[in-house]
Amino acid sequence: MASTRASRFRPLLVLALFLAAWWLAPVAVRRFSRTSFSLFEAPGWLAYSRVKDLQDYWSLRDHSQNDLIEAGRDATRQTNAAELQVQEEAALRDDNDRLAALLQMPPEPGFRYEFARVIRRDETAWWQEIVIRKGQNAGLAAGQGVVFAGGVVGRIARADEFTATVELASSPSFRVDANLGSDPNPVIFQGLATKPLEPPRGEVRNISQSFTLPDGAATMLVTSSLGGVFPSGLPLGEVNHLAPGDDGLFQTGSVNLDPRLADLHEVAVLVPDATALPGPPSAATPTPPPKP
Amino acid sequence: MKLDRYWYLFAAANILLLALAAMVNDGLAGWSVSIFLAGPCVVWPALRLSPGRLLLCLGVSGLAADAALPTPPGFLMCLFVAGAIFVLTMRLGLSRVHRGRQIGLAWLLNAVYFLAFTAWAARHNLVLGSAFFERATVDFCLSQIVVIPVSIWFFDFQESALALAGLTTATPRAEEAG
Repeated sequence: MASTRASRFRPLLVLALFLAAWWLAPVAVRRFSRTSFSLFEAPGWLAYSRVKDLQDYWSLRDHSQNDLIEAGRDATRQTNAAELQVQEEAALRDDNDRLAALLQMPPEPGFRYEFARVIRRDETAWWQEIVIRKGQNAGLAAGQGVVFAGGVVGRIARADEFTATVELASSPSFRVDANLGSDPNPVIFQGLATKPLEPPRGEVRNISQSFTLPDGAATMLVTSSLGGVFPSGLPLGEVNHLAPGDDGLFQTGSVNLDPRLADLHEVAVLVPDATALPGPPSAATPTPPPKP
Repeated sequence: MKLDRYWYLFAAANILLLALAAMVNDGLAGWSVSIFLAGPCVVWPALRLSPGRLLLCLGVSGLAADAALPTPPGFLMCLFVAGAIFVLTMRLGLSRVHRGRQIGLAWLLNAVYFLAFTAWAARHNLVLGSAFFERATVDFCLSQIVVIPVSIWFFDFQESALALAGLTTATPRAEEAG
């Protein structure tokens, strides 16, 4: 009877021993296992991404010539508008550099933009991430900022050899310094879980009591260069409502993020580069025409 | 046991199922809903493999899935092993002919795993609001609905894979143990 009872609890003993062995395993062992399996899986996901690109390519091949002519015309218009903006931006940058030199301000960090296709999106209630098709082989590392045409995408959470995982701005564990419009006081942006069938959103905190929104108009929440991850001025989202915070000292507000954040196809990673000029990217688009 | 030599078939099937679930979630991302399908991975290996091969199978498939998750390394693997130990301990009278009970077990394990991930996220995330729990509830309900047809398909798929390898699945481990 006693041996039967003991044999009944043997599996529990095995479980306890297994869990204890795993918890006591050196960090290097766990990290090695994660890295090994990531490298093992990477070719499969890269192939999946290429196949998706090929599908998009062949679906685009089915478009009529008239559609292509219209798309080409629209692209030309957008290119012309972008060129004008680039010229304007260059003039503004010169002015900014001149004023910064006069005020003896420290230079803003420079970045180069590493463009990468999105392999897959993993947006659950627990976390919101995307996996991109470049990794340490392109100089990417954990902590680097990621942006797209609509503004901030998030931050690299893990970088493997050929892929990198980006924590989206809508992830509940994402937090970054920001500014409300042209107000110089720093505030804190925090991602929030996305409700089902709704666009991504976040929350802004530590807003001074003296700050008020213009009547009926949303204010853009932009990045601050305080954290060193993003250059200043990149859009995070729109704030159209403020409410008193729990502590009574500051206000909080709901942030509507760009809805395209949930359907990204290509992003740009901000890789720190002392020789590069600071400033927002100009070429990352959410839905570029894929070509295998 | 002859099946033991083919533990990697079970591991490969598990990895395939989790990869397919990831692809489905990729497509669902625009609707802000997701599914979680880890429950079916444990049932057949726990019923048909010896403890050593079972640990090997669930260790490989669990670590492969963990590599893509932001949870601590080995989190899902430990859940897999705990689920398998639960099956071994309870010996629920599962057999090849009682497919309904196997599906019920997969459903139950999926629910437990989902709650374990939710508990981890609730502890890890900086802000927990009503949106988090609303989203978790919807994802949970959706996952528990989807896991039933997926379990039926997945068990048939595993049976087919074993048949292709020239193996029979007529004697589940629980029955052998008496």
